[in-house]
Amino acid sequence: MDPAVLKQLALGGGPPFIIALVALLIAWWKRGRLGSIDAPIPPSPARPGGPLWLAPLLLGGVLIGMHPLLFGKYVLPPRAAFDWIPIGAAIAMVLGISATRVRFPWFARWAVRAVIIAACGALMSMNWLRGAWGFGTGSLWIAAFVITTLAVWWSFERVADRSRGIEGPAAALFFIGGIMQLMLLGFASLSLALVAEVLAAVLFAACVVSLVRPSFTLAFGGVHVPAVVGGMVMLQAFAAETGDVRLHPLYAGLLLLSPIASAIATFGPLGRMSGRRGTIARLAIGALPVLIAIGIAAARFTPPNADQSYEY
Amino acid sequence: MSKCACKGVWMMVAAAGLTGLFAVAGAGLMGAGEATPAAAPAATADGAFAVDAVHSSVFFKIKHMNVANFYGRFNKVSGSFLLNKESPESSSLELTIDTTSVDSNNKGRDDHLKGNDFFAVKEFPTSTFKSTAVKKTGEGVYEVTGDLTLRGTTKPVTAIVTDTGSAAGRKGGTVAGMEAVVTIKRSEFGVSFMSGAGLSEEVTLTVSLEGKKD
Repeated sequence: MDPAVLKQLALGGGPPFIIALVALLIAWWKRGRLGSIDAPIPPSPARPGGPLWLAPLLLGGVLIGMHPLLFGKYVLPPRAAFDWIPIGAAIAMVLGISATRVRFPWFARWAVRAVIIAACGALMSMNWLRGAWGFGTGSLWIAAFVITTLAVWWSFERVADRSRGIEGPAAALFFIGGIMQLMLLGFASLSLALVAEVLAAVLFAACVVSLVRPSFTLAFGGVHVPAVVGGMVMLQAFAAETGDVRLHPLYAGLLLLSPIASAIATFGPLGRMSGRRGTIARLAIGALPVLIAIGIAAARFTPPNADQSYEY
Repeated sequence: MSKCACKGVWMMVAAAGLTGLFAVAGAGLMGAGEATPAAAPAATADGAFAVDAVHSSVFFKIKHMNVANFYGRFNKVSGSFLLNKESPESSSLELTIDTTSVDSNNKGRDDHLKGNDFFAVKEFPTSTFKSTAVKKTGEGVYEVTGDLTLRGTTKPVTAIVTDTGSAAGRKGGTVAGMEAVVTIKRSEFGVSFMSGAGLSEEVTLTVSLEGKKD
């Protein structure tokens, strides 16, 4: 791979991982010792202890902080769809932090989320609505964006609420990490891959912390930033790119299936399965769609020495 | 099954169905909103030459890996120009470049250039330049200041424009030529992908136009 690309990827992954790992370890060192990976999944969402506010703060704050280093200064007011991503992250971060303090009735929560996602989708789509899409096509895209992002959000939240330890961050990591890998493999957009990479690095740090502190959780606000930003990146990668670099619908479908599969795994006998076997089984179900997508993309990947190949 | 679990299962079934719907809808919409055709030639100002796209060229130059200059082109351009030797301030230059026509002689790179990392052509299918002031600096040489819009950002830039000649048209009327060169800092226009890390920050645009008028 091009050394310049590797340098960008190192910048996008290294500092966020180290910052998140250090911050989460310090914050969860004492509180996270309680509980165990072998503990049964609670039957209903219960507010856990610990510094829940830190995960949304890190996910949103690191992404917003890394933006100028990776992409140059913020474009304000935003002009391109991409310029809205840090704003979406900021909104999701605030919502996530507030969710660690107050939990409103479910209909109020989901109504607010739907409005926020619809607003993000509409703002991102302004240029496409004026030009390539028109109102009819644009409305379909925005509706699909709202519905699927809500589905991903619900899935993340379901897993985070019903488990402690690695399952919550891993479910988000599969989805966000999968986006990053597929963006890179298709040469679709290094910018979008880097956005996903920053979040994936923080989520990976959360997974590491959850292994040593099994009470760690993304419940009550920790999944808001990955859900919103993941949806925004998907919208742009799937709907807005052109030609062969557009995220293939098959990959998009498999990526979206991953969090839903993780959520499905929390129901029934599998959901009740405790211990490491249960955790590994549920993780495998969430990882499978992403691994299939990456496998297909890797098989289709044109090697750099082929005719008409392209490296950055 | 508890009420909560029932609600959850129902939501999951709906979510799974919608995921498939999204993929299918996406596949169906793949063709929607593809490349926007080149803008029609702008109405020419009095006495201005309408750009003859067949005999006009738009090139961009960028340094790759701080080693070699790479040249790419845009294949569709429209607009008008007028270089008035006697009264330079009445000169004008208006251009519309179809960014979907970017051509770097490599399909993979063309797709990448059309994407979000560079021109984001689905969001910004055109780039425009409109002169605001023209100053004669030598025989047949002009300094043309104007507003360049690229990727939705408009900034004033100054191009060095050379009058490359004029003649009687083969089918009547008059033909004239000009060449404009301008160097921009691409990050100022929101195109900061790998700026300074493999691709130079400065990009030089060279626009060679042939125009005709009756």
